[in-house]
Amino acid sequence: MSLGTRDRIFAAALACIDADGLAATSVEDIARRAGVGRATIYRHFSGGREQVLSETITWEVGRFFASIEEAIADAPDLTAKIDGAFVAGGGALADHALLHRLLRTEPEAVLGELAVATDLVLEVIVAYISTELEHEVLAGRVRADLDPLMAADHLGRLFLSYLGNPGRWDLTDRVQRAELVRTRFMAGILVRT
Amino acid sequence: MTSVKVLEPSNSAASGAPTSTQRDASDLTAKICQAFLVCIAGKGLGSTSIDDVASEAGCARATIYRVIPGGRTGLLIAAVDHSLGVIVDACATAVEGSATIHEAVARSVRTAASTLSDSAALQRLLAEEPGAILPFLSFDGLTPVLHRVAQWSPKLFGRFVTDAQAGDAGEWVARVVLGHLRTPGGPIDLTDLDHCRRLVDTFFIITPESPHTNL
Repeated sequence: MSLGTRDRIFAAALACIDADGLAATSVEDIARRAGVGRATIYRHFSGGREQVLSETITWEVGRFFASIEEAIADAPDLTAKIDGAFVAGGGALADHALLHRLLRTEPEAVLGELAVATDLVLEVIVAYISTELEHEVLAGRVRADLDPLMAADHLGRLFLSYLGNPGRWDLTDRVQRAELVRTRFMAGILVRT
Repeated sequence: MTSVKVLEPSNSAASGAPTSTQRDASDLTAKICQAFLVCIAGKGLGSTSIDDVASEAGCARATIYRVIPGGRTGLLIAAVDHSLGVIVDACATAVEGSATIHEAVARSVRTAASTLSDSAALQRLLAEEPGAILPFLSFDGLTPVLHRVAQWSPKLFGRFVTDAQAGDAGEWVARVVLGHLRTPGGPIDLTDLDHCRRLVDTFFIITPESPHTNL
């Protein structure tokens, strides 16, 4: 029940941000759209407007990365998972109209909030990669002498870096993407045959 | 290609040897940028006025508007570019005597990370007004930084590899350092040279020049 209400508030807040932008969204707007009273918002978010907006961005970022995780669930190994994550993440990022609009209209506000969310997301990504690396070591594909925590931390940060700005790499091009993953992510850690 | 617009790229530097007039303008730009950074470190970006910067730089307001147009955004773009130049100069000193490109890359990572960590202005911005600086380091806003790094990388790594490969090495350094700057913490301390060496030895490879190297 409580979780349902929070999700409803997040969805309403996101719709308000989509309609009016971050700066113009008020607690009253969110409450009206969520069909709850202002008191309910403050009961769930004692920090008020600032907290509900901040947690809404984190919620949306969480959903974004959950969709990537779902897309790569069946990928057979870490190489394929990173490749698939660039496909799913790159596509979702390109299609995220609200993010693009906020980056154009309120870059300071949205990037400040995204920075908070990214801290949390990085932890999740690093934990995910760390588990995958353990599987890769057991499968004999990744060097057994690898420091998995260091490797997962590095690969997680690098993934976020290339997802946010691929630089010279075209992530929609299968050949370039494969070369990026092979040379920048996997080359140093794969067992040399 | 994914493209997420944040800021337009800053003007790229003119190529070729600078004239004395260009050097004077460059010195003045550096002085104003340095003054701007001192003001941010002292009172925060939000409380820094053009008058404050002019006073710190010892020049007139009109000079700032003339040398670095664009108000606060113009000053921030110029300060980011200036800071990049300072970091590359520090890295150039740090890589002297490196026997291999891996050692040069490790020293560059450590020097860049330490310089950013020691920047009172940057640390204050990240702590108090992250939204002011992140547009220059995120999504498409990062592109000018990557271009500048690629331009300057041969200065650091050109004696070991081709210019294109040096550009790749510089980009690798930039992505690693900025990845930690935006999200500090974790098991890797980039201000520790031994950590940097381990990271570089594990993950940094020189790739043969590919069709995508100079896109």
